[in-house]
Amino acid sequence: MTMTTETDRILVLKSNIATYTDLMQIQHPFNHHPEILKWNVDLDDCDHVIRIVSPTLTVADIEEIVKSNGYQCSELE
Amino acid sequence: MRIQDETKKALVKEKALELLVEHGFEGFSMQKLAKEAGISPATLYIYYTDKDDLIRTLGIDLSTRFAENTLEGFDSKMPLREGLKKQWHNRSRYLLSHPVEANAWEVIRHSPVGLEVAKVVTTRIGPAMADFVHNAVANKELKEMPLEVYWSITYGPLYTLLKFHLDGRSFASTPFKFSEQVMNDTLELVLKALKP
Repeated sequence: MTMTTETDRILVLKSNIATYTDLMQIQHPFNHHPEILKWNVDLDDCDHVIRIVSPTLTVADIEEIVKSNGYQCSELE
Repeated sequence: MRIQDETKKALVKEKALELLVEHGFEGFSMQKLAKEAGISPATLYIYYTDKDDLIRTLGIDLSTRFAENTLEGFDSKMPLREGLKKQWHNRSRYLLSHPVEANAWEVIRHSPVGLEVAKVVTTRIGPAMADFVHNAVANKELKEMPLEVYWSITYGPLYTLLKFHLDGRSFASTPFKFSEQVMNDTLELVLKALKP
C-alpha cells in the first residue's frame, strides 16, 4: 500500500470517464506517470470523480493528461 | 485546524450512517452525503477514495465498536448461564442505545464490502466465543451441535425480541416492549434448549 503523507496533495476532478472501457484507456498514462502516487476513478458517482495523489501535479496537469487521451475533466467544486 | 477537521469527519460519518439506513447501499451516494453533511463533494473525496472506501471504513468502525461492546465484562471461562447473560445484556444494550448504527451495520453487511467487514467481528470476538462454547461442552453445560444451530438458538430469540421492541409491535401487530424480565425469562428457555 502506498503511504500518503501530509505533503502530498489530493486533486479531485469530475470527468466523463464513465465506463470500465474508458477506465482501461486512461489507466496506462496514470499508472506510468512518475508523479502520480495513487489514483482512482469513482465510476459509480454521477461526476465520475478522478482522485489523484501527487506531490507536484496540478489540476491543469491532470486535465492535460486526460485530454490527450481523448477524455474531459475539470476541477470538482 | 485539525480539531475542526476531525469534527467535520465525525459529522460526515454520522450523516453517512443515517443515509445508509434511509436509502440502502444502492441509493446512497457521495453527492447526497456531501449535501447532507454541508461540505463539498471534493472535500469528501479528500477523506475517502470512493463510495466503497467510505462504506468499508464505516463498517470497520462499527464492527470494532460492536466487538468491544460485546466483549465488555465477558470472560470465556464463565459458566454458560453467566456468560450468556452477559452476552444478552451487552448485545441488547448496544442495539437499544445505537439503533441507527445497528441498522446501518445490517445494510453494510449485505453490501459488496460486507464479507470483509464481517470478518473484523469474527476476528475480534471469534476466539473468545469459540473458547466459551468449548468450555461449556467440556463442563457438560452445553449439548454439542453445529455452530449455526447453536448461534440461532442462543441469539435468535434475543434479536427477534429486540426487533419487535424497536418496531414497537410484534408480528401480530400487538404492542410490545422489551424488558429485563422478558430477557431473563426467555434466556431461561434458551438455557433449557441448550442443555445436554
